[in-house]
Amino acid sequence: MADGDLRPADYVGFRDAAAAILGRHSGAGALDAFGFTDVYADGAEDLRPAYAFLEAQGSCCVSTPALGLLALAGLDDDRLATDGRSPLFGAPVGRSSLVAVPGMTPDDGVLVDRRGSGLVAVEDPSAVRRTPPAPVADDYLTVLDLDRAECRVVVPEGEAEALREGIVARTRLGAAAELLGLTDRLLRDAAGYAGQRAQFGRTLSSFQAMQHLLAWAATERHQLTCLFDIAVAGSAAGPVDPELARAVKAMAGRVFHAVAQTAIQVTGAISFTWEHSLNRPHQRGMALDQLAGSSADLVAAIGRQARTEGVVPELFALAAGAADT
Amino acid sequence: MVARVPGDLSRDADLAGFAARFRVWLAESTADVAPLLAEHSDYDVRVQNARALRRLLCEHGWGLAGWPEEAGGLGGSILHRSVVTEELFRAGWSGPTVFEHLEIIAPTLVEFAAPEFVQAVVPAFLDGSRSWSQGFSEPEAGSDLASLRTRAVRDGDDFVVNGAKIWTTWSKWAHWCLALVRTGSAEERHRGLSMIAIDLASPGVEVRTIRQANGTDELAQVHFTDVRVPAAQLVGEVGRGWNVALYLLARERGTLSWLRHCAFRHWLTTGTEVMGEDSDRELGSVVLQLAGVRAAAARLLSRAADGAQLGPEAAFNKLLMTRTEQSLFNLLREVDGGRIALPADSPEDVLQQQEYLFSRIVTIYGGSQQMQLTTVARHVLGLRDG
Ligand SMILES: Cc1cc2nc3c(=O)[nH]c(=O)nc-3n(C[C@H](O)[C@H](O)[C@H](O)COP(=O)(O)OP(=O)(O)OC[C@H]3O[C@@H](n4cnc5c(N)ncnc54)[C@H](O)[C@@H]3O)c2cc1C
Repeated sequence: MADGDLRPADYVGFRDAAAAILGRHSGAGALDAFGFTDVYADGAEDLRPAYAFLEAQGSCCVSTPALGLLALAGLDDDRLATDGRSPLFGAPVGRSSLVAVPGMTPDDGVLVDRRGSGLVAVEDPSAVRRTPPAPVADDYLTVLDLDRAECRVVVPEGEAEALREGIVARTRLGAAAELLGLTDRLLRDAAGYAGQRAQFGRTLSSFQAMQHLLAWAATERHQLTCLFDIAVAGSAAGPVDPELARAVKAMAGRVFHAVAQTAIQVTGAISFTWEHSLNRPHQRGMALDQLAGSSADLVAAIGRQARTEGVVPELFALAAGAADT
Repeated sequence: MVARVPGDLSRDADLAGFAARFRVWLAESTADVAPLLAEHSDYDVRVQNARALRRLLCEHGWGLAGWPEEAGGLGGSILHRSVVTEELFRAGWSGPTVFEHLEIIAPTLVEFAAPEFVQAVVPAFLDGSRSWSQGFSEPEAGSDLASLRTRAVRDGDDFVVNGAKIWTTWSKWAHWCLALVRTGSAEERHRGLSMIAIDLASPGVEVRTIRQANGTDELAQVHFTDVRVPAAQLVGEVGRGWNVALYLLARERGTLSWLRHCAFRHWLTTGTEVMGEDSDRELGSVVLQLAGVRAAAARLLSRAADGAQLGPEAAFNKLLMTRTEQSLFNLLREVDGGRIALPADSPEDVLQQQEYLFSRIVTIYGGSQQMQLTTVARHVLGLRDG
């Protein structure tokens, strides 16, 4: 959506630059062209360009390992790197022993968080990957089954505890950035389709019922951009507040599902075909929603905390929310 | 020690510091402030308290912070006003009743009215001695506002106004009505409209309150019969009333959502006391919706503080704010339906019932939900009819 004037200008600049690169490159090549690793080479002080990259990646539906790198950004620990390469973080999926690694290639090392053990390296990630019996619409996330994996402790539990919060917050905010990009993509494509296809001698977008469906989708997306932008702006000044990151991720998942449903409704039966352009981003968003806490689980956790503490969280101060837009 | 006066209100000054100074003042003034914040089921008492609170806040400078000097303020921006609002809610406020219009009507007067008129009326609005109502809707002109018929005809230095407004909130207590009137022909539609401030004490004005479904009488019909209004009370130019109305509505739909979300937090927090584990998911969902309203409001406030023209994006705020208000009260009904549905036996329950029923109609005021969706579809998404 053309809302560059409503969102922080610096951020939009990074996002649009990333989108231009992702139109031509994918994988590690796209990261190099953007200078992704430089973003956090100096201690991860300002990760806004990384979040902007991820939003663009969602919107272009391209695969890179950016999200797996972002999770470990700034940890600046020689023990993490294997063969001089940064490993990717395998984010937990649901309440199972599965982890999902974004944009993984066979050469990548994978690090996961195991409560009680610490941050552990998965010895041979390819050996424990889930292999679906049939092709998948989107292969961005590689799913590993840790129950079958040999793991080696890299950062012991005692030290890992202090790193956990940051890893989770960055993963959540990064996944939310991608979900926002995917949401944009679905909304843009659906609105475009409705403006092209005619029924009853008129374009679909001329029917008020279609207009209102799309307007609700745009409204959902708007609230997500507002909350997301506040979290990202705050990330430049210090660690992301875990409660805010949780809320952003929960909202991103919910908004994504709502907008995906609208996109399917607006595009009609054609969207239920394997090759339709909507299928891949839809599958990707569904999977990303499961990463590092699904929207369903996070929403329940937010409610539980509000009820047991009797406090409805404010999540950010007006001064912070107003500062960077 | 933190000072007890508003202090530096410049754009770059520390907003958090301003909030801290206000909190100190609030804490030290509890004896005076607390009684004015308390909830009352009697609306007249609420209005009296709201006036007294405005007076107190202005005496100490806090009620003038964020308002321009030409309107009797101390300078600063809407962000300062919004900080004061939030801190008052944190201290247990139930809301400003008739002075909700302050954030809607006063900025409109400052922007469009003649400077002498602004000086004459806005300070008295800020200090609570005078309040305003908004006369747009008519019995035959609701969503199709540009079809309104109340006429204003120039006669010497005055306009003579004839017609009727309806749903004119808080006019029972108001001294002024900011009215959208027809100065051109019916065929000119919105180009034939002007905005004018009418003193409700003028001969020929009759205010008839409307008893509402929730038992209160905040709404009213206002009839005008040959009411003479000085032309100096025009707000904006003749024939440009629609622009003034859009400016005002962007406040009612948009920036007001900050104040409203503070009230939602207050009700939701109270509601958590009677919730069980089985409500966690729904409660989490409403908390998240509230976060969306807060974030969208913060963005709009920041744009307003920067002097941006608030356009159709205010429709987002109205849609989010009213959906959240209904979700919130749906949840309260689901966890404690008896409190909302059965005859009440305490002032708190009466208030809860009033608010519940009010929440049912919030998708109508200020332009219905359908009209907001159409605004987003046409002016944000660029979708076209036909
Ligand atoms: C609590 C409250 C306070 C108010 N305060 C004020 C006030 O202070 N001052 C003031 O001037 N007015 C006020 N109003 C009036 C308000 O602005 C109008 O009620 C509103 O604009 C709708 O007009 P209406 O009630 O005539 O409904 P109608 O316009 O008759 O609409 C009825 C239904 O039809 C739908 N509809 C109408 N046209 C379309 C369309 N083109 N497409 C799709 N659906 C459509 C509407 O969405 C609505 O659901 C208030 C209303 C309420 C409920």
